[in-house]
Amino acid sequence: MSLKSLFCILHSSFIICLLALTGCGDAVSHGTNTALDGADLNRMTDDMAAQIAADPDVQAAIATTGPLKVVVQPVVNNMTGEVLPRGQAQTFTGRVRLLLSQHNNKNFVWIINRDYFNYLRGKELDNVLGPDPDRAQPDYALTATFSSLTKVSEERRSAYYLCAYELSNLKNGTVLWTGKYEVKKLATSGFLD
Amino acid sequence: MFRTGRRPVVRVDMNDHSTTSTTFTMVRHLAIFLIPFLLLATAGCESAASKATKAGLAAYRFGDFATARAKFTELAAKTDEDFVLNNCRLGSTALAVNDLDTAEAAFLRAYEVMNSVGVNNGGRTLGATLVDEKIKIWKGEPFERAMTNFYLGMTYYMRHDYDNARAAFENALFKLRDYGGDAKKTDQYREVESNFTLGLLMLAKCQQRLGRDDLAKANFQRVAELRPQLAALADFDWNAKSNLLLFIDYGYGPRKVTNNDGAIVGFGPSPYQAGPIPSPLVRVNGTNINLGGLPQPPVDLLRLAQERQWQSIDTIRVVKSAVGTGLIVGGAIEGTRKGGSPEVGLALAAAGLLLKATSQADVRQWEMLPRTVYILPLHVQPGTYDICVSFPTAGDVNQTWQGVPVPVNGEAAYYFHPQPYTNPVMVWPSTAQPAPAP
Repeated sequence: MSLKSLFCILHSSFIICLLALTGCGDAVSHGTNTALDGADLNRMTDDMAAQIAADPDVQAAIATTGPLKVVVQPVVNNMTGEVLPRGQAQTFTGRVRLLLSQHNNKNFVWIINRDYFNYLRGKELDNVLGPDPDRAQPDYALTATFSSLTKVSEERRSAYYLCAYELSNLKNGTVLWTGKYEVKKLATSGFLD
Repeated sequence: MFRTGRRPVVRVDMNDHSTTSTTFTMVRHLAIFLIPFLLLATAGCESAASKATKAGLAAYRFGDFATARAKFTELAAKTDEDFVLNNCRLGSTALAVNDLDTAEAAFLRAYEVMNSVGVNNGGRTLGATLVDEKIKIWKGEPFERAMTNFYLGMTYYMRHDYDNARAAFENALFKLRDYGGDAKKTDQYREVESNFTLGLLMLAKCQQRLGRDDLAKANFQRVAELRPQLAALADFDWNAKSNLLLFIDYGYGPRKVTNNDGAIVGFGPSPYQAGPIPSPLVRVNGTNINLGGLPQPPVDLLRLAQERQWQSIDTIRVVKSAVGTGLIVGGAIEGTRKGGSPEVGLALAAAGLLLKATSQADVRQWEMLPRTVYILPLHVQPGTYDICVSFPTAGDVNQTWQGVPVPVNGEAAYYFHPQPYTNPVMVWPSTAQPAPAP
């Protein structure tokens, strides 16, 4: 073993011992930020699904026309300085659909998003010449728009979120139901931030 | 009387051979433990990750993007102290071959950690302060954070995801304001913002694509106010009719440099040393395009890096280095002066050496950053083209994309990264478009 290798081992051992003593973490184990997280997702979508299911106007519409044909759209990101990737944008509305279909399956018919339907047909069916005229047409759209006021300074980053959900009638443009989720988040910079 | 009163104490200590022997033994053991560490801190040791990084960077420099991407994909998966840096490197490599899925994912991972606070809690703060600054999770210098957000925004813009592109460009502007100094000093804010008109310009373009003409006009106007030479580039109507947008990297970004002590970090070269930024030449199907007043660099990272506000760890490092020098000098004086204590002198010198050894600069950096990114909004007849971008006055550095589609409606955006040693001709499309949302 060369002297340099020995030094390398000693140095590494020293650092490992120090880190072991102080309980070192990795790049994703300790940080916190002001982004919407899994807890917000659960709280928000549980609340929205419960509100939709219990809303008198929604129940009246179901009683009048039968199960509502609903298409679900990804979240529209109006947030300031907060990226919402495509997968997450789908999850925030997709989980509402999931909860409603689990608990109120007879009251809703879920229609696949038109672009995705055409994409699937093109991928899985032979001799597809264009959009299917027999596609089931949705009567309602479940949409969500997230907005935020974000402030960043050297000491902290704060964000106030307003997440608005709507169940809109695609035939006459009226809004059947609307709900919101609000939360404020604060992250204070540490010594090495 | 004073001397007389002190002497017996000294004499007792010096004559107590067992105590002296014990002290010497302790100091010797301490020195034996510290000397390899100190030597190593000077000499350094190269890990497998370091070798892989060098190989990846070399491959990138010579246009072997497949090798570079493979190296950095492996490195970026490790959530160690270089997690953010390796994801930035991976993002740059993926962008060079238009692998937008990988680029988005990599820059997003970097963005998430950069936006987090307290990532160095749990021992890394202590370790970085006491032992080696390289232990801390790398989050980049202010301009590197801004450029991460810029490239993330650019990736979204190329995918026509203008909401997220807007958010990323806003975040790029936040980052520079973050380090711009006292919030009450509006002049400082203005100065920092004017240096990152790249983000402001792209923010305006996103707002235009999102139909927020009021905000777009205000931001275009702000760009022209801050940098009058960008007036043509920030023209609202010209951007509205653009159906082909080119992002063109040029040159190399700032490099961290240390002094002889290895402690104080600066950035080089200066814009003066590097010389003026050349203008690009764009050929579409072999025909030169008249770019008018468009090819103006919206940012000069070399200049931006010179204006960096230093942060806490740098202060600590400089203080540690200065205190270390003081301790070594103090130890030498104590050890050689008449009546002084050699053990104390040795201990002081050892402590000084330790402090100086651990005050070595963290020179990790995002090596793939360019000096500038040109933004060229063009209007051409819809169709499919071979587009070549070159810098004739800079050794004819060039890059060509063949079979690039230009739409009737909307704006197609493409990224060029011409560099020396390689003049790649790349064929479109390189990756499939993502599936729509279910």
